[in-house]
Amino acid sequence: MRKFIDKIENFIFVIPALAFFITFSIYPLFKTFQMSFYQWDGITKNMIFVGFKNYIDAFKDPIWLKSIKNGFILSFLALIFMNSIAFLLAILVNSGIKGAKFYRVIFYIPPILSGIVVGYIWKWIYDPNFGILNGLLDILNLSHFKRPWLSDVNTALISVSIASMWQGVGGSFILFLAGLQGIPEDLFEASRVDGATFWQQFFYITIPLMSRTLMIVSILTILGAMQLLTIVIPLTNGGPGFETEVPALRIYKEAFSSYKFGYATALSVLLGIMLFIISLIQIKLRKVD
Amino acid sequence: MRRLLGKILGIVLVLTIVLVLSVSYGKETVKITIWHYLNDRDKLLKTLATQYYLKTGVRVEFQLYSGDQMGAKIRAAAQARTLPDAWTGVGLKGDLSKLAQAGNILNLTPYIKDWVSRFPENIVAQVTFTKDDGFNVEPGTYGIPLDVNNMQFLYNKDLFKKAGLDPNKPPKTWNEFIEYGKKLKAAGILPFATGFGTWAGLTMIQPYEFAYLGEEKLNAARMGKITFKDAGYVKVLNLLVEMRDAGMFAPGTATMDLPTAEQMFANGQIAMIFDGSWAIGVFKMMNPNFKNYFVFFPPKDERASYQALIPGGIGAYFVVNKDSKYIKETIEFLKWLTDVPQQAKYAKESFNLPANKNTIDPRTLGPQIAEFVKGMDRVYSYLAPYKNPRTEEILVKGMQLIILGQKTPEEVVKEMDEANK
Repeated sequence: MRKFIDKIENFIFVIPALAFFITFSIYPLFKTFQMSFYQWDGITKNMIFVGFKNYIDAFKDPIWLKSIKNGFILSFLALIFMNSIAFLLAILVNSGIKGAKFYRVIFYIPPILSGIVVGYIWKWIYDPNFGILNGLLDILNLSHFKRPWLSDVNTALISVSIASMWQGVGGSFILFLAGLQGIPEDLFEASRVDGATFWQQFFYITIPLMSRTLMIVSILTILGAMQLLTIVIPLTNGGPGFETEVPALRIYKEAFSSYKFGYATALSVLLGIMLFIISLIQIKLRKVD
Repeated sequence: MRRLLGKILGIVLVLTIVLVLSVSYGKETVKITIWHYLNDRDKLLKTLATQYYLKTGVRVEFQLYSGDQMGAKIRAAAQARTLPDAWTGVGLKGDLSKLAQAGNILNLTPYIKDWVSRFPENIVAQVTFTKDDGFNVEPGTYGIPLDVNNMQFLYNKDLFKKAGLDPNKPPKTWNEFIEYGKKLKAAGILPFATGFGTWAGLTMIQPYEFAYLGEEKLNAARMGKITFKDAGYVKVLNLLVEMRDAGMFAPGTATMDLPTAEQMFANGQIAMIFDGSWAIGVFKMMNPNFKNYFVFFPPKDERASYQALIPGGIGAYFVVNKDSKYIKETIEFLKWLTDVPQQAKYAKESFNLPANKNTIDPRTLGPQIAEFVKGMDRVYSYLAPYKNPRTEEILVKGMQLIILGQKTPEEVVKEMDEANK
């Protein structure tokens, strides 16, 4: 009886969290999946069941496919450049340089800013007429490199990527730093006694012991880049043309500009499945390693 | 177990007391919440709300949101049934009809029948559904107009003078417009910008849609009855090519939003802009010293067969939530807000054209506003919705790429026709 009462007591304590989880995660997930089979404008009560039509349309939609491609480009750039910079910064801060705590705080400021704010900051930096970037190029006598960074089809996506990496680098940095601090110092001391160089320590101690952190950071980077939205809206709103269209922006526009709520939910489901598969593959690859 | 039950009962008791207190506190005053996107008039609306509170004891809270995102916010709130008591409508009959069909907005006809005559009939018609208009909405008026507006070109007289142009003679023909652009460019002045990144670029080409296609063909193409190619839409987009080739677009115009273009114009950084009559108040807010500018009607293109008509008509208007607890009080407030003294204050302080026709003559408010008043006679009355709403997005994006020289008008028209099937 006592055991039963204990179980009930424990269950009572779990109920609020469970209720929250079901209400705000499970139910919306189920509802999203259900709505993806309907044609619905998002407002009226008139919902028409269309089966898999929304999914079939998605695979034929050039703008959606372009947004996926852009998402992958942003993910790739972030994986290579943002994470390399974050890793380098984490190693520097972990090496015991002066003011390490200060840098730790400074690098973590961009991630806590709202995406919209970051978007406007970079919009001002990139402004073709009065922006700081073109101004700097003038000062450096490099005026021939000046351009409307966000309006030029050749530079728009890269410019968006740089802004998003600037915001994201601090998040990866903190995770890398935590990973580095978890490596026992005596491993480095022992290797030093054996005459290992810095690079040998890096490749044979740091990298292998950081593999779990690297995997987590990679997954979070891809998830973040593929779901980029708030920075893109103030910077380019997907333009020029569809050059900086990203999946989340496409979903948002289909739902709230084109009144195609059913289609937008189908796109959400597809994006969710895609990200789930990517994450699974990464975890699988790490296990193979 | 007893202690646990005691604790749970205690928490329930405290929550009940808090709930009862908050409900009884809420009964003390009526509080109406209104969402709006009138950035430059936020302070004025709040002042008027305070004035109303002192007069009646009814609190009105105006909440400001971004104009570009207001539509999405309303649609999201409509789904969640969390709309405020009233809000400034976004879009016209197409958007309104969906909210009306879903039972989100109130048919105001029985509430405003005694005082709706204070607004011009053609303005009220823009928010009124009739039996056979095809929108499938209960006939009636669903909006209360606050102001009227139209969109035209504006130019900076000082910059015109600097480029050797007569500051009192804005371009009258399209050829002149292009020539003026070239001269401004040659003088090192950025000739033109508007919000091609969002919706404002569309409105710039609308007068020429009417001029080249005529009302009938234009609406037939929008509704998918004929193709844009057959309607001759390429000629409309060619105007952007001519502007681009003349070097008229300021760098970044392709993805620029309207507030950025307005800020540049108010700072004297561009010579011309396509904007609405509300911009007079916006410029005043952005740069109070900027006064030497004027307005001109879209220059006539000799190659076009029809008359150019400009966007405009009803400006800001309010709709009322059908589920509001304070329907009567909200409508009473809107009646007061659109009455002569408040409309006069609104016009004088915001430089917007009041919707109440009995208010002061807005022409007395300044030469620019007087010029916009003249334009009210040439506002188009009807523009059909696109068969597929995505066509509009294809056009906006296509215009951006034409400005950048990445696409031809023919390519964009082809994509529009594919989208509008």
